[in-house]
Amino acid sequence: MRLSAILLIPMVWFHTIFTTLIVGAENVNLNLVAARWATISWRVYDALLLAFAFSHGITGLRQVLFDFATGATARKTLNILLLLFWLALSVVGIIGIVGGVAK
Amino acid sequence: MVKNIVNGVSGLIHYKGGVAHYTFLMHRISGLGVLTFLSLHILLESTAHYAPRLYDQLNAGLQTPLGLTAEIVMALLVIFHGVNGFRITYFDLFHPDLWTPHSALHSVRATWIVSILLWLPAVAIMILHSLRLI
Repeated sequence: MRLSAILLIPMVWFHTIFTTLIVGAENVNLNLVAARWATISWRVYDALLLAFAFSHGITGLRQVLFDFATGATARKTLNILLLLFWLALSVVGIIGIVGGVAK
Repeated sequence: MVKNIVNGVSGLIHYKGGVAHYTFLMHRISGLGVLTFLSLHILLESTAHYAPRLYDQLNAGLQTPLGLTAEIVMALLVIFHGVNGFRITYFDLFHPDLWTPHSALHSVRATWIVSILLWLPAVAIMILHSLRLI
């Protein structure tokens, strides 16, 4: 958590400052995504951001849930559900980034 | 399980820890808020690949006053979570000796001040963007 946290502060802040303050939400559209993903380094950046941020978030959610679910069975069930949720959205997102915008 | 949740939530509300306690709560609330946003954000952005025609339609829904409000709230959550997370990480890794009630309280106040100072200009820029003034 600590290590991904240190990485995430510059990565997420750059991402949000760039998209919401420099580009601006009103200018975001499919062409812009296509233009950005035409550069491989943007795709690598987005994929890393997705992996770090989503894993960090799921680990945090697990920590919060474990404060309430103290039984072994409940924790085991939560672990499986969280793993499936993490895997599903990560795969959906990574395939989206690798696949890119079809011309 | 249900008893744990009732006890846990009532403890979170009734514990009289002052600003440090609200900071702990806000770290959790902002974390869960950002995770919720991120999950939806992954699904929305990936439509650029799966359903390109849908992408601009869904995005137009965010370019509304409601979308701007959500953006402004999300900015506070992300900024706060980052600033507070930095404080926790810095103390844990480099200055565990500073984990005393006194200096922790000072740093907690600083966290709120820094977060709001970073948030206000961001809000101004986002509003100007939404009005297409910049």
